Amino acid sequence: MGLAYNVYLNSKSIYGCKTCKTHLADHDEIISRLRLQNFRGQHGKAYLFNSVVNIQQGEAGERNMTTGRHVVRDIFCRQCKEVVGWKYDRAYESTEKYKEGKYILEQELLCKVA
Amino acid sequence: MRQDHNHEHRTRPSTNGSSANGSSPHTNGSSKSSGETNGYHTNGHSNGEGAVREHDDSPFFGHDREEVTRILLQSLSDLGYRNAAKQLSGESGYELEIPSVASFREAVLDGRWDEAEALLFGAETAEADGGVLLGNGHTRSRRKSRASFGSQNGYARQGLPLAEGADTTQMKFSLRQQKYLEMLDNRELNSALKVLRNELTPLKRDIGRLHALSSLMMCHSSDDLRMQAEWDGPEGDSRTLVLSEISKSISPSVMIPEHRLAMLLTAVQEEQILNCRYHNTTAQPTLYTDHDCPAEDFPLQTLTELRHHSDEVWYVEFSHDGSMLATAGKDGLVCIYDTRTYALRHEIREHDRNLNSASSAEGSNSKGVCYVVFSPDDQYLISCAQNNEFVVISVRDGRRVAHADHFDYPVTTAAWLPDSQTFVIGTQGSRRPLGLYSLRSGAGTSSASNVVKNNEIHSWRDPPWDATQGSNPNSFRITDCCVSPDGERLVATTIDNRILSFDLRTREKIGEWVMHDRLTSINFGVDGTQLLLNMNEGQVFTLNAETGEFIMRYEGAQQKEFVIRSCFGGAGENFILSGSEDSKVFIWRRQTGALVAELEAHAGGTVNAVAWHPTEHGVFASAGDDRRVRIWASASAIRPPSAEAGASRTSLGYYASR
Repeated sequence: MGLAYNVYLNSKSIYGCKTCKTHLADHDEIISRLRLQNFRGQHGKAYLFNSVVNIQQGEAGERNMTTGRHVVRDIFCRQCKEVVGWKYDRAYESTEKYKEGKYILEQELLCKVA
Repeated sequence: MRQDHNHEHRTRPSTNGSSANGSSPHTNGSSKSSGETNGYHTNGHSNGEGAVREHDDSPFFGHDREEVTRILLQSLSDLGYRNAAKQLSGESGYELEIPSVASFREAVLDGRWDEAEALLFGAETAEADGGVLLGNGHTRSRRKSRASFGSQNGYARQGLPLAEGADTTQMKFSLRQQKYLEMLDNRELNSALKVLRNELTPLKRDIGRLHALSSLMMCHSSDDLRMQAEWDGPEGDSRTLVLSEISKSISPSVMIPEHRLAMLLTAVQEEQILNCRYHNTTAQPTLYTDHDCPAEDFPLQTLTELRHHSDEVWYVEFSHDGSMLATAGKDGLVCIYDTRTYALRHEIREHDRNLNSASSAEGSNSKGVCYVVFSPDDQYLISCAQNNEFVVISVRDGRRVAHADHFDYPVTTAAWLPDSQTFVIGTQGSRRPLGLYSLRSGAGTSSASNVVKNNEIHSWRDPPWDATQGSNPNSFRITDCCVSPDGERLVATTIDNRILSFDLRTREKIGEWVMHDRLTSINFGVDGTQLLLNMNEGQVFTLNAETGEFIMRYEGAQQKEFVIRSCFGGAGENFILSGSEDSKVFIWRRQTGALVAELEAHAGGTVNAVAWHPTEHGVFASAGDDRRVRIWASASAIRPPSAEAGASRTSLGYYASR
């Protein structure tokens, strides 16, 4: 709907979509690793981000993950429509509540943008 | 009533009270400052006959009869009808100018400077010559009291009444400067020197000019003098110019400002034009009727819709000669139409070649073309795409002539320089945000089979790219740019809400203005003095191109999330046209900001871009998310031509049946 330019982040270290290099997240937005184990997605290592840009959200669905049941939705790069990770809508375990509203980006689907 | 006053004139000649002190019958009770008069009648003195002239004092449709008559006298003289002027003067009893003003005028035009100055400011002692004294021999004429201001004789003594805030020193300087220059021209160097020393210098005004004038003494010949002083000599316009300048400082009721009637007429016409809502013409309207353009002649109706795009249309533009229309959209397609018939001339899919599998996915943004622009000679078209490249194609045969894909982010905008060989490209990348490219390859020629590739001849970046560094900090990213019509300046808008201005000859940045919200469109006006901008949220406005000062705001359009574009258009660029997120096209009067029309254009989506036909002022185009391009024209153009409409309408008329 209309032409809209992508958002560009201003930071020393930015992650972008591997396919089209669209900016997705700032490295500083990663939620501190001390608190949590490494995340693993379908493609291996993943990071939990506070906020991401230039993504479109898919339909929410329940999924059973190693950490328990969650309601998640896939997120896609706005530009090339490739999946880049998912967003936690809801976590059933109280220890996992901190993930709600946050985003996972899979390292395999990202690239570093200067 | 009138008769009585005339009697007063005759029976009390010495009071001269006729025209002074505000109680004059001639002033008809209108407010004039005392001490000034404009009511001079030929009291019968000047023609020596003693005959009484009856003059009608009744107002002329609410206006002072004397003012109207004197303005008419001036106009008749300006038009060259001197006999008619004399006749009118005789018949009405009014004179255009009192004799002393007329004498002053003649003195200046004849170069009798001392006399001119005496007439203007008043002489200290009685003058025997000058021809201004009338034969009454009034001793009154020696008095300098204000009461005698009203008399014609009195002017010779008191000088002419001056306007408010008149600078007498400046006026003297003007007169004496002309005197000096004429003496120099005549090679009377000694007299000129005397004037310089005794008349110009004591005024203590404009020392710089005095120095310049003294240096003119060194000129060898009068031709040299004229060239250096930029002065055309006594027989040229210089005396008239001096007169014009001084007359501005003389009270307007004594010496009516030049071409007063023409000025009044122009003022009324300009007012009518500004208030004319649909004024889409540069022709001078007639004086016979109040001017108001009819709505039938303004493009408010749809002429036709172009439906070749299979997805949102993002950009539309006419060629500079108006013969072609280019459209571009999200489907990666660029269409070129012929504007006489709106038949499709070329369908160009240049950007499909460089897509990888991911970016050709359904619904992806990746292959969209977001900007197209014709070169000034309409030979080439640049197409800027979301897949990080631009292509230049030749319009005649659709062949690719240049290509650049060394970008890491979408190419958003382009602008040609007047030579139709070099152009500016703006992108969202930080490595190469703004660059100057050329169609001429390094070898000097581009043969038919060569496509000039990645031929960037200059790059603007802040900070400049340092290849020795491992990583360079981010630079500005460009959303839109435009080049001034004379090719001197480049102005670009960035993603962080700044407007950057560059000199194209020196390639230096000459200005930067910070705006407070996202900028999506920038365009130069045809004379290069104004910039038209679209900014979130729903702001369309013009800025002064030199200073960045705000000129006019145009309200009503909506813009929050998407790129909406606007343009100048119409005859004399009288209109501003913009798209909007509420599916409407907005048209405003450029000079006043008044909303002319709000048209439902592309239902269900945003109106992304608009363009006005450069030569046929009754046509414009709009492009929207509904995949259509709509061509608008006036009701009178769309209607089938009637018998008296004439041949000019037939070109559009046949569309009505399509």
